[in-house]
Amino acid sequence: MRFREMVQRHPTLWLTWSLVLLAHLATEIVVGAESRDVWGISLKGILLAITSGGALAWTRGRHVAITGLTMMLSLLAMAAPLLIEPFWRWGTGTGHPLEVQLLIGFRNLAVVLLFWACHPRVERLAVLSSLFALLFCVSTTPDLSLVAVSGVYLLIGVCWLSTVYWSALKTEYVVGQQARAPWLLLSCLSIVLLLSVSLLALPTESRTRMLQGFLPSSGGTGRADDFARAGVGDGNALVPGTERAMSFAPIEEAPFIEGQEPSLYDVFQDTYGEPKPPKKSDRAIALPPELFTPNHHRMAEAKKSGKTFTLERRRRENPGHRHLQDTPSRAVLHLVGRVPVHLRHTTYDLFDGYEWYPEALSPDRARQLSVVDLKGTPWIRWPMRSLEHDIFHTEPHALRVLNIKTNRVLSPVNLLGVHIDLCDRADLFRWEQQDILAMDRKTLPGMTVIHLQSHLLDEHRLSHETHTFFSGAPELLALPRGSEMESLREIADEWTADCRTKWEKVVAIRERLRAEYIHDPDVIVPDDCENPVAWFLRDGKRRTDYLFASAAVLLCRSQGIACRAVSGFYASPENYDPLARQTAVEPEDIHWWAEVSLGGSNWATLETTPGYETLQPRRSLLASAWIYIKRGGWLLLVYWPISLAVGLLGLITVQQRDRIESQLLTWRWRLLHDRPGVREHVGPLVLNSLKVLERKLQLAGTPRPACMSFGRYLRSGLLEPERVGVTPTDLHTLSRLSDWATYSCSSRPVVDVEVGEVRRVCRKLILSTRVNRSVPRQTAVSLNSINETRS
Amino acid sequence: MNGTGETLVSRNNGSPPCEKLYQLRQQLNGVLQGKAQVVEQVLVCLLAQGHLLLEDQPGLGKTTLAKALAGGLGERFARVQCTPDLLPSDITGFNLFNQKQQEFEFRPGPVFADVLLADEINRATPRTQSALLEAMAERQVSIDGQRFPLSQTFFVIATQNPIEQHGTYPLPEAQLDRFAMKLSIGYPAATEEMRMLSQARRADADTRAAESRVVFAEGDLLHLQQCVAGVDVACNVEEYLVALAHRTRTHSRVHLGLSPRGLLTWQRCAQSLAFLAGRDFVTPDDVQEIALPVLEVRLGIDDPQPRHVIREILEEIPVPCLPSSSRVTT
Repeated sequence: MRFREMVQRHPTLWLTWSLVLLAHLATEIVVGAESRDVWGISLKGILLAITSGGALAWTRGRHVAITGLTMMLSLLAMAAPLLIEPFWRWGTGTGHPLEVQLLIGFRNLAVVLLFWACHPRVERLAVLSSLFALLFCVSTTPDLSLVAVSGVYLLIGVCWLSTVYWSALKTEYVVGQQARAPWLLLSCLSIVLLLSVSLLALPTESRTRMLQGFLPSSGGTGRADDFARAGVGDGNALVPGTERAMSFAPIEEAPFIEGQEPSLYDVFQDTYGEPKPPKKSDRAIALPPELFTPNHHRMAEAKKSGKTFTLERRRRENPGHRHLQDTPSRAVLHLVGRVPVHLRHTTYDLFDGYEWYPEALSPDRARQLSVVDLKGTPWIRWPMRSLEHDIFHTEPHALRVLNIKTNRVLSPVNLLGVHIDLCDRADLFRWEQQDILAMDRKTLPGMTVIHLQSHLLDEHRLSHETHTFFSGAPELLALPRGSEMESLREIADEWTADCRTKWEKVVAIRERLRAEYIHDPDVIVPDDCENPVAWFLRDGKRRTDYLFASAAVLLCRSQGIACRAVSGFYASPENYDPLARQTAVEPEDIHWWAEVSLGGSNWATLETTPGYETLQPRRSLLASAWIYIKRGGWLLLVYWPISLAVGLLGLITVQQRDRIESQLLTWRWRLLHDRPGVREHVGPLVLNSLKVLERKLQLAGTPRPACMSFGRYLRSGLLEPERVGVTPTDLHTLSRLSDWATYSCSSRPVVDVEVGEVRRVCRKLILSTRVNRSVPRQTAVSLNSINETRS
Repeated sequence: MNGTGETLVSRNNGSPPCEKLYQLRQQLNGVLQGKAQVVEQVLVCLLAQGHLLLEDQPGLGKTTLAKALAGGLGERFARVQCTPDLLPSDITGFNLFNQKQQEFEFRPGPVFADVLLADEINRATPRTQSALLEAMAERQVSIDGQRFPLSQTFFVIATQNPIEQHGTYPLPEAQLDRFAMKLSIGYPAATEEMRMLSQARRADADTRAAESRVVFAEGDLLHLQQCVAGVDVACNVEEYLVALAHRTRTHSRVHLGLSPRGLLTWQRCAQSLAFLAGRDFVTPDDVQEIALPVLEVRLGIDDPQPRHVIREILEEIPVPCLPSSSRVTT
């Protein structure tokens, strides 16, 4: 068969061939990205072009039929890379990552389908496979040459779509009068094309990160593959830089030089203001003697070293944070993982009414650190006394310290383990407090990524457990002495009166504080205040977060629930950068909250400050949907008058939709055709009027039968001229005009009649056609019944 | 449209050929009483330059109608009574050796008439039936390698008896496709039969038919046929016709769909019907109206009620309701 004849008979065939070749080229660019073997890629492309082109011409001439062999070969071609890969790795010691194997599979499928491309369905499948392969390439490799390939592909793709559309029109749609353009299909294709184009517009790094997490071989999820490419931005490669949390230096090469980073004390001062000088003589409350005596030494040492935190502070001044000079970010650290997260720095157990004292580490309770190999990476772990109940989920995070001077590993509650690349020595770490891990050095190495694993509490499940809380050490249950404390206990009793379990009490206290008090970081405790916590609960509604946390701890302790206060950073979802997929934690994110003991070494974060949230376990799609439904329902209940009005309006609209549409159509017709001064010809008037009439008839449930022309319908008597208020002659005239307007090529009306007269008849017909639900809807009308009606 | 010609009120009205057509219709209605629709369809077939197959029981007026039509047209009329021993040359004609002049001379057969009545065509052998193929399709016959053109208005009316099948040869599909339509006259109504009886007492119907007045002058029929060919068929109606034709080819109970020749015939018949209705454009109603006789003769339908299948097809394909060139404005 000659080439020109082939093109005429199957115009899209060579466009398809070009698309598949481009997809092949893109695939080869991705596969050979590391070797950069331009000559090899070109040679392969030319060979494939020649062989597939020849085969295409050969098969096109013979019109190869689709058989079971087609399916078999297609599947085999697609699965071949996956089947061959193990043997390839075993034999050569090299291999391809999973995504490249899939990519080659799709490329193979497109090439094989080319041989049957004379069948339109197979041809479209080949193009779809090539498109998928190309998109895959664009998404996985930041190679500039792919932009050019994608551009050419886009151009040929548009030509292909247009040719397919017009070919289909030529061969199929002309036969049916009702054939319409496939708008849905075209819309979907347009969206796919638009997305493809927008992919190109995205920054290279964003494109490469699109498949992050989707492909386990990339190393980004911790499940690294030896043959994974370093292409998705978070692999095991060493990437210098300061912009990304996941770019880091090995610990041995980290800049361990002492910097000018602020300590937590500095951040406290910047955020909360400086502590007021102590006024020991004025204090009316203190620790109970049974606790004061054993802890006296520790408290004095803490006070001496400035590790305590007093609730009486001066009004803060303009903060002057210091930042790393080589990063424009104000962040003290970057966090990768789900947010919000409470990153704990210090825990406090003793409270004397004014000051919080850091929790001490009792040597007998310090857990032994060890290195555990988890899938080839060394993790620092320790024995955990987990609860038997299945109320925890494991949650991974990674953080990189940028601008804070501390040796403590800022971590979520219930930390399970820590991993720093190439760090396989447990003696590099030690316990700083009971649950606070620290590196055995002055500060954490900057720019180093610290991977964390922690247990995340599922509150929903916990609420179903009748769990008994660990009573805790006396320090975790201690309340300062003083008359105000009794009133505090009474408040707690009142708030938790209806609660059966301790967790319900915790939740009741939390919800009450969050609902009735307002967070205001600028409020300070007045000078003459004797008991800041009682002042907080009694005299005002606007308070700082450390007062919220202190109040929560004291209220819980008054109910016999062991808990403590914690200071650290709050990684807010508001600071999440979707492009970098990390959260910047800034100095303003310093925060106080409480923790409730669940027994063992398990704690639950108790966030009582309004505006701050705790991280919830990942929900299933159904669970998320249910939550949104509940929230929506709640909103509907709260704004019930509006909901009711909107609901009623919607109900009426739905119920009367036919009537409404019918009326709108009438108004529109009157506006366009039946107002004074309108001058138009008979033809458009008749056609537009009949269009409106037809829709109104459909809405009225008595549609014109599809097998009947409008002229015949008007003559048939189905419209009942007496009811409409027009004479049969009028209807007959209109029917003839309808036939003429619809089927005649002549511009001269078949009947000499005034436009006004035609308008009058049309108006009567349109106005008399109303939606009447009491009339049963008309079922299909057959030609027999039409003929009977006519006779 | 009704069968009495009252709808012939368009701009065609008044022209001499249309007047004559009206008179011919009246005359045929007088001969075949109470069968206005059949007469209308016969005229449609005539104006569409098609050929007619009348299938009905004996004695219903098939031959009478044919003779009356030929008489009204004023054309040459020939009749062939088909029997199993009828030879093709009996229809087409033959070369006879003239011993006086010592040469072959052609003796034309009945096919050289303007209106040919092939009575009980299914009694002729297939070989003889095939002799009509060329004549009907191409209006010519080839005898001994020589081509003889027939009349431009050559019109075949064939009859066959659907009841008596013994000793008959069913018409092959190729032959059936040459006919424009198949009609059944059917029994007249009781009132018409009573009128017929009273008239029969006064004169024999066949005699009246033979004595029927010649209405058409020479060339009138050809002129009318040319007028019919000029009737407009809009694109949307063309698409409708094509959609219907495609449906006949894909319908599960139709093993032989409409051929392109059949489609052309259908269009011409619809044009003819529109012309008779006084319009210069075809509507889907014309297409539907003429569908039964046109399709019944040529579709291979696996159903004891072929008309039901045809109606089903007509009901399935929606009628175009928008003009091809958008005349709708907002």
